Amino acid sequence: MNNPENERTLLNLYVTLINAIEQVNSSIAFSEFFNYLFSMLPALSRIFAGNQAENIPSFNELNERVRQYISETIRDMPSRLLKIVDNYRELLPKLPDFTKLYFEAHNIIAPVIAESTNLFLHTKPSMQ
Amino acid sequence: MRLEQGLFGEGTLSFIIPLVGPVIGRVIGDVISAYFLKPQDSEKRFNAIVLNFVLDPLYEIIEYIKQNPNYSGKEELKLMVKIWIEEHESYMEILPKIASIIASFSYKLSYIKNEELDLIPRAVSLPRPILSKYVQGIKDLYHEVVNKIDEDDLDHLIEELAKHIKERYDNSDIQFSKAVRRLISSEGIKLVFVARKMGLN
Repeated sequence: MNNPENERTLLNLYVTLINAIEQVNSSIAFSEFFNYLFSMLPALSRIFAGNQAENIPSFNELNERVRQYISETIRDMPSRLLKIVDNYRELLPKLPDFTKLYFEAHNIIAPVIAESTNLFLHTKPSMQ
Repeated sequence: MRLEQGLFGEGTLSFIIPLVGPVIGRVIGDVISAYFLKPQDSEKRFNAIVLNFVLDPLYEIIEYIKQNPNYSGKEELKLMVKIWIEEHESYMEILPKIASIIASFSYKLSYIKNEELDLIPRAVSLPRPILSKYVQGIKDLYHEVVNKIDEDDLDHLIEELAKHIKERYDNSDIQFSKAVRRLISSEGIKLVFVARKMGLN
């Protein structure tokens, strides 16, 4: 691939396909992240309090700032997502062709890999 | 509150710096160490790359074609190998990226170890001048692969590949598990094939 743009397109298509296969539910990951963050707050405030007690915002203050940050992030999210999705405008029409060719290629090579490594066992070798 | 201010206000995230430092240090260290590999070490690294991601899967594919003469996808498989060999430079470039993508994929077979996937980008990222130098040395084999596939001379090709594998095996520095090297290489082979078909090469 002499053109980096082609490589980028190919790998973006690949990632998009992988994500489609995986059916990632990003909302789960998103809420998990914030759950994790909230659970960290008491620990963080303890660390701060131990080192520089006079400069440290209280737990409630921190909590309030996190909530504010989350609400701004969520409010800002649609426009940021639109910007990202807009970059896929050129890419998405190619996705069906890519997917078809990818699985054609997969069906050709998968029997070899399945036989030698037991990978891709879900693929039925198309032997005559 | 502006988002740019950060979660805890200005300056309060400085406790992260000691954590970030080692990560950046490791990345810089990897890059520098790749550039300053001693000649014998870079040859070992190149042998490892070729052995794990070219010769091993190639041997398996040719052996499979030989053992299964009635395989319905035989001609397409041969075409796929030819495209792969012709596009070997693109293939080498996308391998580390494929490993990173698959490492981030949450649905994985249990015997695909993330530690190995993480190692691939570092193992495969030989500096381009060094890579080009060693690739010159294997181009004859690549030509031979394409010719022998065209002539359907698979017996001699298998012998030739076995010889190259044996020669490089003791003089290589990293061995990946069968599952990882075949998974990553088969994804790379598929992608260069699809790229050619879509005119993205």
